[in-house]
Amino acid sequence: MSEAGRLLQEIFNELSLKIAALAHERRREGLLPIAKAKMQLLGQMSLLANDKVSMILSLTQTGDMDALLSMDEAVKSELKVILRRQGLVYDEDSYLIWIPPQAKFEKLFEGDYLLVESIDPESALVSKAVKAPEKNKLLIRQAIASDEFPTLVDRILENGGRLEDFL
Amino acid sequence: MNTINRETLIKQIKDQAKLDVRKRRDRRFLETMGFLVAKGFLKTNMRVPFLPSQKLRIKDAVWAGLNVEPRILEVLPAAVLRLEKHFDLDPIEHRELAQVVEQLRKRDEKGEDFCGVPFEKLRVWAELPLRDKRVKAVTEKKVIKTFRLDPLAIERLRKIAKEKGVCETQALESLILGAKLSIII
Repeated sequence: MSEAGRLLQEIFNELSLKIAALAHERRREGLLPIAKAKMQLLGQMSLLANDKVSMILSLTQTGDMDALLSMDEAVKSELKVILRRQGLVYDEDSYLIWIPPQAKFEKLFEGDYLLVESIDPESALVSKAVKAPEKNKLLIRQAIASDEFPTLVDRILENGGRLEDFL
Repeated sequence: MNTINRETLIKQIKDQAKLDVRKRRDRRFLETMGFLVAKGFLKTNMRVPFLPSQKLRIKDAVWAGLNVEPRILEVLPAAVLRLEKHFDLDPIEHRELAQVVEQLRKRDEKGEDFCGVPFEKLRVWAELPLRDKRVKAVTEKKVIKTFRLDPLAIERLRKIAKEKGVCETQALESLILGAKLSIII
């Protein structure tokens, strides 16, 4: 497992324990039960966490975590605390990230209280290529040159991206 | 896009990708990444040397950010602010960067972009806890202040510190931070 994968497992395990504690507290106080939290990883972290992709592409990440969250506010607060301790910060603009058509989400982690999915690598690359080509120029070049993402070029072009941006 | 044009572009992209391999082996890139990763500003799956003590030239770090990994530019101002002894920042030669670093130091709400990275994005890395726990966030760094105090106030401060079992600095900090704002004004 990659270092990023191990870090994420640590985060998910800790968050699961926190949610379990919250759920227990709510039950004890007769409050509404806590809904299962869902996280959909996007962006660079989704690529780093993928062992196969991590072998093919040279990836670098700042400390932000891009993810779509569907969870109780109390759980989100716990997540932010856990992330901060690991030198990470949740990117509140994650909802602005464009998810290309045909994107799939693959299960990364599931416990009683937490489900984490990760966007498929090719869709993460399409999103970067179309919406932030300058920032991801070398990454997309490497991805195209690898021949490991069979429909990457087609999807970039179908969604308004330009191959000229990567020269 | 016609097929010939597409295939030509893909070939050109692949040729560029071969040159990129060389850029990732460049000393400037490896040293910059080695330092920023060691300190916790960046994470990577690339094999870069672990260089927590590296002294970096701003020129080299900017080259690495512009030509190889743009995320370097996102964290560079915060890295210069928090680890200034590791950089050769010159306020004249590196005017733009020095200006942004000063805005981060003063914790300005708004500031200049740096190499296309918005100030709001740059500010995040000034305040995040890092892997190297010795590196303080800008919100944690102590600032030297000199005051002339009444001898009675000094004596009182000494007694308070002794009672609480802390140093005088800590005693003073707790008095100030615990005081109601209306009293101070």
